[in-house]
Amino acid sequence: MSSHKTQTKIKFCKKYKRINKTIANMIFRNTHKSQVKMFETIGVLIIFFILLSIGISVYFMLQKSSYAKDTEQRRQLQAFSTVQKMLYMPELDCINVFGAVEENCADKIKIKVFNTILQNSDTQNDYYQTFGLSNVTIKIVYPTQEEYKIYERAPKKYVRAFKTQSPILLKDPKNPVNEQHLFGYIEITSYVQE
Amino acid sequence: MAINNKKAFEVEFHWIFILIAGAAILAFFFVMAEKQKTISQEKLSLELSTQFDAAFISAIQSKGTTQTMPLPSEGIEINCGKTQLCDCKYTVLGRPTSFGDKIIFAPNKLDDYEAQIKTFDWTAPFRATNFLFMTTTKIKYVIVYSDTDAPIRELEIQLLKDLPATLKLQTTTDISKIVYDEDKIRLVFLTNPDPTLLNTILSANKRKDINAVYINKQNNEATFYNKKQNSNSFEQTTLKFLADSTSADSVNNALMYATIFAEDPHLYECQSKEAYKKLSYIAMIIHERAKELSSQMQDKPQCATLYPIQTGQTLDNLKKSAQQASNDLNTAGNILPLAQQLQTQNKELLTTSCPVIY
Amino acid sequence: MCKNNHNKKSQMEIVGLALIVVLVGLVLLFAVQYTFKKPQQTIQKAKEKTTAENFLSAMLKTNTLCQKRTIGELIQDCALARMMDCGNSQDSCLNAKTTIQYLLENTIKKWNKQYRFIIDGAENTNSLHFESSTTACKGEKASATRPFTITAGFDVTIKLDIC
Repeated sequence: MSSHKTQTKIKFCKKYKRINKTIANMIFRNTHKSQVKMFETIGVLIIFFILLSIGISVYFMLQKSSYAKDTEQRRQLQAFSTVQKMLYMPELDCINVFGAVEENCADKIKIKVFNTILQNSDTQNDYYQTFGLSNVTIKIVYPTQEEYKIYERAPKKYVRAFKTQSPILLKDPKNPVNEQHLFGYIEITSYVQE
Repeated sequence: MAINNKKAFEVEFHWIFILIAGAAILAFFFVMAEKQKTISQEKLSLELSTQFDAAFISAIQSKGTTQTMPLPSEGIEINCGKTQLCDCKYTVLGRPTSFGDKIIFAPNKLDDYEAQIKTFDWTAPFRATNFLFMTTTKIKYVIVYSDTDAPIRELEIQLLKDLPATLKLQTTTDISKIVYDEDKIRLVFLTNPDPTLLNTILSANKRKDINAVYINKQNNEATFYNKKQNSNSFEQTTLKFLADSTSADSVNNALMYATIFAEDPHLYECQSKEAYKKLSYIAMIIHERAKELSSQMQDKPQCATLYPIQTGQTLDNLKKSAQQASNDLNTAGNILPLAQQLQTQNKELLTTSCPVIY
Repeated sequence: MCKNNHNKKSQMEIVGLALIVVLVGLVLLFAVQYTFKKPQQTIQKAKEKTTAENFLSAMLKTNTLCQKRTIGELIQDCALARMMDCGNSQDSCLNAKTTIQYLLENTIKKWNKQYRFIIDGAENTNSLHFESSTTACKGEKASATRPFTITAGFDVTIKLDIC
């Protein structure tokens, strides 16, 4: 009888052990599983942030390149606007025999005089808003070849320079009856400091 | 029990984890949005600056026509700062940009989908510069004149001829007939207004933005009426402008028209001073040109007598008066007789087939 | 059965990862394409058009060495009767030709731009046709066209293409 009890006890203990082991195994697996799940989630998030960072870097790189292109276009446009403004500046415009302003024309004497007054640093500072960091030259092409520097303000250090030109008529007002028009062009060398 | 405890903790931990991760992601996108906003603001400001230049050049090339320029939805603010220093700029989304070499007369705020731009040559007596007049269709201009006063009636006709056709305009001789159908109204008085009447108008239309200017062409001065802060009354500022009321018309009405478009007297003062500075430079150039021409007049003795003594002295005085006016607007009146003198001398040169001064 | 489910799950994950790699690859492709795309030429075209217009406007009023006549007057004479004697056995057509060619070569060509200049509407002015090269401005170009009156009722069109 005691052996039966013992046998049952042993069986029960074994069973209990088995059950305990199973439960123990279950607990172990569950804990391990949630740890794995957590690491998995962290891993996914890390990958996600890496991809997001790549995406954002690419986006900002594109933005930077687009901004650089816009800035370059704006510089070109500004230089061209300055050239166009010069065609209508009262500091350079031509007057015909009847006292009317001639379009797209610069007076030769006014060019020389304008250059002289721009030697004054205060005057040059006032005209900085118009011409900026640039050299402005008017070149006569036909029938004579002459060059007049109007404004010079090149920086000591610059990354690059680009030129903008526009044809213009020039007039020598010496003889109002036999007005002679010469062909030339305005050239602006704009400097980029970066 | 251990399992239960861990399970309970796991859920909370999970939620905390989600919150932290979510906050990190939101922070990321928030930073990106802020950076994007700054870049857009800069781009907008640069674009506007380019558009200004382009509109200015088109307006000069197509004289007399009104150009339109698209505005950002937030509008642009225009002012010259609050101090004596003339720091004139337009502001877009909080980002200020200087006027540069342009002389602009405009209201304090342009709040519409597009601005109307018109350039006007300023001659005194030669063309000194171009003014840029800006406004929008949301601002109504009311010209109050008198039928009985002939010069004032003439001025009203002149205004109607020269002001942009796209301007929202009402002309009236009776102040009670003004229709307040826009949020922003600028009253242009050609006769001296009664200040009490103006205050009454202000009290009756508290929701409207009303300001006024009285143009006294006889004395060449303009009185700006701007609403005082937190009050139903106007503060007055009187400034001089240069114009020629005689038939000579040696100085045109550009500075007078500028008083209509410029709401802020400080803006008007700053931009007028810029104009006088420009005038002094042009006078200098024309003077030097006249000197150069005179040295080449040996074969034309009739011209040699006119250059440079008469014209040279007038031009030199004009240059000095313009320089003075660029510091003090009250001295601008000294320019008028010199401009008239120069105009007469120029006509004489034209009739004697001598090279003209301007 | 458990093992099968596990395999299917990992396969799904691999597919997911592969999808992400493909998406990233596509994004990078677009980015590279965008970065190396040539910028819009609208502003350049507008500048060239204005340059062409200014050239024509200035050229027609320029005084030449032929009796101090303007190029416009030489073109008028060339289109009509060719009565002008410019010296050195040159008539108005030849003088206009050499002058216009000189102007184009010392401005537009010097600025490294291609050009094409023609005058349409008069037989006599057919010689006033200039190109920087035989293939100049066959594609995209900026043009300035200007009607020019030879005499009452007789107009020609002067066209300058810059590219």
